[in-house]
Amino acid sequence: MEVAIRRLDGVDEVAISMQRQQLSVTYKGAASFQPQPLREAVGHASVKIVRFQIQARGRLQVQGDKQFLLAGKDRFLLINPPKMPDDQTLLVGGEVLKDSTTPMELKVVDFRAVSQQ
Amino acid sequence: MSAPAGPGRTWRTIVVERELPVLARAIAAGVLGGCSGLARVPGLGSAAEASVSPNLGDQDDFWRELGPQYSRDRDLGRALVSLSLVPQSARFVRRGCDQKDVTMLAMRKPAAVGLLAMLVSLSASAQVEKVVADAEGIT
Repeated sequence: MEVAIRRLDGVDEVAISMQRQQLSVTYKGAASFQPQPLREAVGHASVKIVRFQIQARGRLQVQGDKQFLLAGKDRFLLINPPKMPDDQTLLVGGEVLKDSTTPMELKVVDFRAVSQQ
Repeated sequence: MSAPAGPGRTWRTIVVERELPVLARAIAAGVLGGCSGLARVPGLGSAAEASVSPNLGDQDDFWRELGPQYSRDRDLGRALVSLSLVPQSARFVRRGCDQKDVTMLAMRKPAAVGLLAMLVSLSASAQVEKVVADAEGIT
């Protein structure tokens, strides 16, 4: 399973915990998060992913009453987001509520504004 | 019959051995010159940073919630605590480098262009950096 994940585009590091029933994937620079290939890669080992949590660096985009996180090639619709600055780069931790939709839905659990040079 | 170790061969070996550390220092000085303390790839946390849980905030702490289980689990723990939440680009600039310096260094040291390009591209890219997935059926 680890080999299958490593073969996915943009994957840098993989860690798998049997005890915790969790896997961790770190991405290379400029990579994008693609949940479906990840699900398929682990599915070959009869493993089912039940929840994704992400850490992403990006910016807030406000469109009408909707807010999005633009994280490189990835875009997330934020569900019930906290008040966040839209003029700074943000480091966001959150739970992916829906990864089958476009854009994916993300619940922000925590965030931090970071300076962007 | 063994080949004699002539003076030429001996000296060439010695020169190569002596040049390697010099070359290493020259590359380090040339690539990293003027960037005091930048002796590692941005994105890889130092030992000091690795001992700190990557908390994004103090309240409702998402990562702290994850923390204890990762600290008990060696693989995931290592992967998560290696995250540095210090902005990479900020760290880069704070230590005395800026984009102009990098460009000039790259021009002077063509061999370092690839490395520098990678460092710069990694230093501030917006993207999903890490994913932790809860799963069923890992055996």
